[in-house]
Amino acid sequence: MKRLLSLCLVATLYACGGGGGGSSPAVVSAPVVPPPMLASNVLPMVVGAGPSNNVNIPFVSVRVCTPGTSDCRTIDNILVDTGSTGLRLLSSAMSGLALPAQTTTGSPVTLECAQFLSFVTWGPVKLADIYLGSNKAPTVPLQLIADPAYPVVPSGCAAAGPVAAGISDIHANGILGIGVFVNDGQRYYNCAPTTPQTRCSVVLAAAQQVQNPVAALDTDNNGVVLQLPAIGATGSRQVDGTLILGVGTRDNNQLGDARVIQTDSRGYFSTIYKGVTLTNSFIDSGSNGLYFADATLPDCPGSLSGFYCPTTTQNLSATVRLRSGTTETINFTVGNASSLLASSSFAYNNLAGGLASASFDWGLPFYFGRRVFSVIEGRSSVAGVGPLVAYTP
Amino acid sequence: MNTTFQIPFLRTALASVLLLAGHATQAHLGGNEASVQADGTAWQAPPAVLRGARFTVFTHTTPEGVSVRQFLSVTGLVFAVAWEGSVLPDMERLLGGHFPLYQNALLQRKRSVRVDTPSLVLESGGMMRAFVGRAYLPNQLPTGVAAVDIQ
Repeated sequence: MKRLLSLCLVATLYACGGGGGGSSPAVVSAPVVPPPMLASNVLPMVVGAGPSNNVNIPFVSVRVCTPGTSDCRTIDNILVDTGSTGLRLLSSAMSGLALPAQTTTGSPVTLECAQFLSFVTWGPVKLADIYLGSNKAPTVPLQLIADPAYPVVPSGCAAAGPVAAGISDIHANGILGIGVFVNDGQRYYNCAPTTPQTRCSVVLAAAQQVQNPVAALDTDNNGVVLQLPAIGATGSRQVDGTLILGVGTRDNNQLGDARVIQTDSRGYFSTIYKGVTLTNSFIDSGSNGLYFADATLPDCPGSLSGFYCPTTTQNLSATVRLRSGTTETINFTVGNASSLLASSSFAYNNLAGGLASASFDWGLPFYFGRRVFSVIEGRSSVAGVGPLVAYTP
Repeated sequence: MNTTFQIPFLRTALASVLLLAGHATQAHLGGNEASVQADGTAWQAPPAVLRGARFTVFTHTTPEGVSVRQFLSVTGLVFAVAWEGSVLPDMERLLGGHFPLYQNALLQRKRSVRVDTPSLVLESGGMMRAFVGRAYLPNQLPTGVAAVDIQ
């Protein structure tokens, strides 16, 4: 079944967008079919157990090379994150690939503290040729996470959150940040601290910061489409989808009937839930649930506190304002996280939890059965100039 | 991005907590107008001042573009702070003596970073390049000021 589904995705990417995935009798009866050729702007994307048996994480493989050479490594289980910017790879996943340092004026090294709300990643900025599918982003700044060559974390960085050090922290070999921004706007340092109090902060020009590799591609560089098939209410062990580079640049990434939301300069838009307008809302493939505040939904007990555990499945809806000026309702369901997570599934379309701030975080459950587009700030597309997001209903 | 499963935090995280425990910083949530000015110096961000009838808002804009607002009551108490920026502000200095409660909330590893105690309410959210949050002293809000006023 999974193999048939992936054939469907490749052969008729566009037609698969509405979900209904892989149940066509005509496809089932097809006998031996040669392996499909992926278009150069398509990466297989899998939601499955990954390296740490976590749930609702979309993974791809990325190929990185020493710039201008054929010395390369393909690194699998990279988390696809539309909520951050830039490629970050665990030092331990590099298989010995040596990458040159990003240099700044007067310094042979650049180090970075990147913030992810509840943790930080610390490590040097390196340069690599990054291949997404067979599209190349030449000589792009990326971050190595937890490089043993730079063990001292500045106190100002450690104060921003626990320091991610391995797979048990990020549940992946790396993070591919491909949201609506070009550069990551984080904190940089131009010396290797010898004590946590070492002060060597530096303000980097945007082009020297860790970059969204999609924005640096030779082609298909205005945004991405994430596509996942629909799944059932009890979840799925593994879901095969695709990450498509570019928006409206080829037949396989056209907008179709997708609804377009223009975001503000921070990547936010408004969601109205139960009469409350949540102005800092966003769509984020790196969030493993739908996160929003609702005092009527009970929190789960024990270690799952933070997720919702309603006694019966809740059919809910929220509205968003489209660029066209109309509002549109999005329906979703919230299951009991304790019951769901007791199953053998790793992908769920009904996992949700609480959120404190004035936000609705449309995490990975939103993506199942949809094509979700994002267009990078300042880049033109058939959907308009970014930053914007769009989704098929 | 954020993944939510409970996982044991690593020694690095523990080490950072221990290190920071040794820092005695002045409370800036809970501080006064003098501490606001001192923050402005420390952050290279002298505040813009908006005086209102119920409270005064001091807005710092740091060189890296983070906006920090401090809410000063007419009796001279910083009863609330709020922030917005591509990175988080200097939370250790901003929260002062309340900082350990924030650190504890981070270690819960939930999508929502929240503290809700009688002495402190803190909400921190958003994503890389767009962090937004606020913290206030619920039992010291001036008369006529509600949480919704702290933006």
